[in-house]
Amino acid sequence: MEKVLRNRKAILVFILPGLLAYTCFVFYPMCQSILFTFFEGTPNVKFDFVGLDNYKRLFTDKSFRNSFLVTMQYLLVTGTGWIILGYGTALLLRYGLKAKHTNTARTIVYLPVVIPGVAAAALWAKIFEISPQYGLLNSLLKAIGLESLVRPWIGTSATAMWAVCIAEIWKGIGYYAIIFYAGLMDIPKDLEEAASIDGASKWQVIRHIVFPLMRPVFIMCVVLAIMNSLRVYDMPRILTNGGPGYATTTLSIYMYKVAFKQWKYGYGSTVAVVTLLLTVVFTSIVKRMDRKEMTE
Amino acid sequence: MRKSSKILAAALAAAMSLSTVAFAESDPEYVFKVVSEQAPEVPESEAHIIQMALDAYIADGHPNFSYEFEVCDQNDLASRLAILIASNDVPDLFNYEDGTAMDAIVELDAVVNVSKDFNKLGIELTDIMPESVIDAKHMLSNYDDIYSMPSQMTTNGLFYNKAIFEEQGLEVPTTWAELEAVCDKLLEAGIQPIASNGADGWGITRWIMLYADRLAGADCHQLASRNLEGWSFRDDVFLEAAAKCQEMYQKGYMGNAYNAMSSTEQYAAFCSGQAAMIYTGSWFAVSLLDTSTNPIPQEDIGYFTPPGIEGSEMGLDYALGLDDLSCANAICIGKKKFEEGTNNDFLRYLFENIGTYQREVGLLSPYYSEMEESYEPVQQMLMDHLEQDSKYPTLWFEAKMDASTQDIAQYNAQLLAEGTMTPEEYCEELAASVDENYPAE
Repeated sequence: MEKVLRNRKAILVFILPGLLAYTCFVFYPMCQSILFTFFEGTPNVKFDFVGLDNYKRLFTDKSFRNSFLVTMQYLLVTGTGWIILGYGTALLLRYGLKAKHTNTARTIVYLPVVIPGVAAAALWAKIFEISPQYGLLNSLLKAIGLESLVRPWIGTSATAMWAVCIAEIWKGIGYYAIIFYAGLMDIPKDLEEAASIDGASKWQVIRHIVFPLMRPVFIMCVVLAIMNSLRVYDMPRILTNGGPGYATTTLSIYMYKVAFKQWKYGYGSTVAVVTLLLTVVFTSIVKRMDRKEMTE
Repeated sequence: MRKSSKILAAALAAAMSLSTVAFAESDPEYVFKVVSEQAPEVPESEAHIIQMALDAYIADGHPNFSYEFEVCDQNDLASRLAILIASNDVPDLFNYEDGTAMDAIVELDAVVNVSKDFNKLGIELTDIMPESVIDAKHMLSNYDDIYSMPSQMTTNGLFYNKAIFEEQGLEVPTTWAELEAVCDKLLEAGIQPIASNGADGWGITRWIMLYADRLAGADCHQLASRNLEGWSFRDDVFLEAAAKCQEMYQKGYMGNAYNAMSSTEQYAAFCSGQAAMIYTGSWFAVSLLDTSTNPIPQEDIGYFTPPGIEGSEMGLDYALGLDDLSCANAICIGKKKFEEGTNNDFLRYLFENIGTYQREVGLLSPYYSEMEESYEPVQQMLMDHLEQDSKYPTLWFEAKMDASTQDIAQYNAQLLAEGTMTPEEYCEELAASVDENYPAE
């Protein structure tokens, strides 16, 4: 096996199919999207070269600015929610439950992840419903005597974003919880036992032993959370279609509208490239911060 | 041996000529493709009518003709068509939003120029529809020619529940102030006055248009949408109209769930008696005829167009004749397949008979039909309105707006209605978007 792994030609044969697929279905479309940003119109039919006009337009486009801010808000709320609640759930699974219940709990926690995004959004639309009849949330509020709080949760700009974030956090927690849980399972038991013997409480073990050892897993989850938040589309699209107003119009929804509803492929591609750049910048910052702290 | 060869050759020749004759007599295989935002199962949809015609055409001696329907959500229709156009695979027929939204498709040379090329089917436009309908299509088009066929004849207004009006001692309002008084009284009685589909955006912008047109005439919003003849959305007329629209929503005339309400939920609110009135188009009549979803007896449903504003320049009589006669949906004919000619025979059949099929399902058809007119009471009420009262045709609020201005109009309307955007901000953003696309003359 070792001999095979030292053979560069053999390695090439192994990675070639994957590399070809990646080039055709990821790299090539990505390059084409970047090329599209210098054009305007409809590809293959009427596509005019416009130079950097699409990039200049970003600075004067109020709707783009709104979408950018909404995306940042979304990143902050859902990203933080996924990480904190995902980690909390993983700790609960690892330390808070008896071993015989762990498998069932893990399945329950992971269940929302396997539900298709559209179905999950439709489910939450029913939960937040107010008309023609109250959904689960409003019915519950009414039942416990809090009818004054009954409202169109996804139909008011003040609450729509929070409603979408809650639905998205619910759907994503399981994904991050399982990654964290796998990381927790990798921590050697003898370290925890040694700390306990030295008199450390459970909280101190988590704080001083588990948390530092989980650092690489945290970094990976943060990077994943950033990527998943920036490319969010289905939940706000189905729940609110980006509204009311632009309250839940994320960059990907805006990109879709510009490219496919307004027939501006070039500008739509420019918004897509901005999303890509944001992902690269944010993940680089996280990695740089991590490297800096490691060297300190 | 030679004799048997001759017999075999003769038999082969006979078989070949017979098969040639048989082939020439039957139609070639053809799959007619339709892209529509509604499924053919929806009785008030264009797709349903087209499917009826296709079924009849195939049964009428065209067994090699078949069809495929692709249903796209309204929000995805443009993207789907863009992909089909870019891959040179434009469907035979598709429905799309009429007005300026159509311009993108016209500019890509994807649809038939109906004014110039429809007669290639062997019939003239005037053979199948009245001149007034053709004029209405010209009103919608931003070109000298028209590029789509009409889908339905429509009137837009307020359907009301007569039983609720009687219970509350209410009369049909004759002025805008009276309309507001009716709404106030219904609110006091704990009844939602009007069901509004704010999730669709246009359900809110329509109220701005209704008020502005009653203040300044039918075409003011169309002119402002293009910065023509000195009109702009910054004008006082639109500020006043936006403020009135906001006031009506803020007072609760449209309930509190309007921004989360699609047209389906809006219909349910009216039919279930939750709301006393509903502002929508005459296509709603098809839903009203369905007793499984509408328990209100037909005779208990009334209809009126929003009344005029007392003291306005246009007067009350003018408002009675104001109507949005055009349905926002257009039937478009794919140019490439039309020019290939294989579908022309069916297209001729479709447009010669579409009026009959529309009448059969209860739609108000803009096409001629030999079928004897026989309407249900609700339809008759709408037909009477169209024939007697509709004098000043106008287009819907966004009809002449470019796609980005249309988005701004509809998305911001939700904020205007809920009170998080002022009428001044609303009008300014709208006007700024128009300025960008159509700089003032």
